Amino acid sequence: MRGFVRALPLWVLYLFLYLPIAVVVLMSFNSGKNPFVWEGFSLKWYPELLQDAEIMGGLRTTLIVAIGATIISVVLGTLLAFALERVLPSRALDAAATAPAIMPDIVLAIGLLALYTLVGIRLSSVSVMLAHAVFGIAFVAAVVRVRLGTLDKSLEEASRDLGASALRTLRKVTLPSLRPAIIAGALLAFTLSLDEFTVAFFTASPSDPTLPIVIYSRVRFGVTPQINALATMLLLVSFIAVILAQRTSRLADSLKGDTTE
Amino acid sequence: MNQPLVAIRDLSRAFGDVQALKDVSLDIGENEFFALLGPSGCGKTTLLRVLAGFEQPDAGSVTLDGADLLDVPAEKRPVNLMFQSYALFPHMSVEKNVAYGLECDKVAKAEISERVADVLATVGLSDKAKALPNTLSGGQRQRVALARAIVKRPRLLLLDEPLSALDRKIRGEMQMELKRLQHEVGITFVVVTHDQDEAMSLADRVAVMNTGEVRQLDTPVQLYRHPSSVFVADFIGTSTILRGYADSVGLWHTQGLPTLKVGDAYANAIAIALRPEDAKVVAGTDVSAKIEGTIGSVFFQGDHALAQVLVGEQQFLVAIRDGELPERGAHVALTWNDQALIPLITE
Repeated sequence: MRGFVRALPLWVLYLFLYLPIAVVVLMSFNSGKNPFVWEGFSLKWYPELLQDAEIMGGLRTTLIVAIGATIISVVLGTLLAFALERVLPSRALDAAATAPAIMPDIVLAIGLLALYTLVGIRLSSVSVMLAHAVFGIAFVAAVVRVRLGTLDKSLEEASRDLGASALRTLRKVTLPSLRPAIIAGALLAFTLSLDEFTVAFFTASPSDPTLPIVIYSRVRFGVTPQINALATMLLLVSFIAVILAQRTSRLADSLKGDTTE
Repeated sequence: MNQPLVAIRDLSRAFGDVQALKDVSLDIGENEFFALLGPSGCGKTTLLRVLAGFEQPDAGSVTLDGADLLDVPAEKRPVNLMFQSYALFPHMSVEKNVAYGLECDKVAKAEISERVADVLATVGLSDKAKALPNTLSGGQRQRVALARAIVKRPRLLLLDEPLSALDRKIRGEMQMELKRLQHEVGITFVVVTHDQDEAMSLADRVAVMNTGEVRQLDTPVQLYRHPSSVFVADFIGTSTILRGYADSVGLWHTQGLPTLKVGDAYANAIAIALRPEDAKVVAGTDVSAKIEGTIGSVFFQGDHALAQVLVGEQQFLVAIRDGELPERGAHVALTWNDQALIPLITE
């Protein structure tokens, strides 16, 4: 009991963190239409969700955007990490590479919309994808760079010493050593894109909105139990992503143990 | 030596203001176990990296089997390096690590697995073929690194501080193992080390380096018995070094000490060295006594003890093999054979 009292502030803090989420999850199992009054347990909103064409369309667009943005981010972000670490080490370029990750979304959103209009790019899922890649690249580059910086140089030298060409060394030694960082960066870019609202709101086509935009437009007319069910499912997806990310980083640590000794 | 395997001529390399290699010339013979020994920053690692192909010298030449080596890129040289950190690929099994070099050379699959199995048997790791490097002990990792480096049967195997990452106990084992392997596989070994015991016990010949220069190149026995400079006498083994000069009648003068009898051969020496095992503690009344002093600290080492004998400002080190260990502060005399004094010609 004394232990509980001592840890009380901690429990209050956790309550603060998780109460909103608990409400959403709980109400997603509410059988009534009113999202604020508990009327009994039901799973009926979940199958109904699958019947909702608008939500399903939004989900499809979001997945296309997230997957596309992740692929672009991983490829360009990794290349950027190599450039910053190996080709042109410079603090100014470093800062410029991380800026999109911490810049206010609204600035990026307005800028992108202005640019698209200026250049004459039609708003579509591709325009959102490119927009999300802007900060995705920054995150991937940051994560991969750290790993690249701590990479034991002698691994690559050993590869050359054993007769491997530069390309073979990259393919067989460098990239596999970076794999945990690349996976972590990819998960980051993917999950950030998945629930991103501000930038998507500005750069998506009105006829082809992403899921967060669909949810927002629904919620304006009140929270429905369907939205709660959707939120619960999104929560599940994020949890899985977090667990995957932790696993890969643990893998990275255990692999690193060999080279740092 | 007939045609040397490796001939290094006038090699120089500077990093900014630091001259890592200064006109280094030396030959390494076929099947030799050669050591580059020196304190950190003496240029030995730079020399190793030049041989491996990771560093280009500013001037000088290196030939292997009479052919120029410097123009050959690292990946094409018949030279393999065992890295200090071992540099095992963490995502590959032991077997894959060892097979890597053969795969790069496009050796047939069947031959690869045969050679990998052979070399793993040689280093005693057949049962670890499928293991990942981070599950192995330090000694085992080192064996994998060694197997990976010798499986391509290089003309020259370079070993960068091969034993430094190991515990003292395993170090002795691995030392014997390396020597055995070198005989067995018949590859020329060049080991870089700052550890004199390692160099002395492993190598056929040792090049002692300091500040980018080879100070002395000889067999371990010769280096120990006949160091030519103060640096080598001090770096290899323990010794008492007495700076001074010899006069025309063969007496050695060191400030603060009585004159010592030396021969004519000491005329151009700048210092003389005395190994602890060549000196002996005797009673002050002994007729053979050369010098008197008091016992300082005594370091017990198991098979012998090392005693400090203080004569004025100068300390002498004496090995005591048997009998009672002297008490601190005891008044004693020292004696030695006149021939045991080693003349040192240069700094």
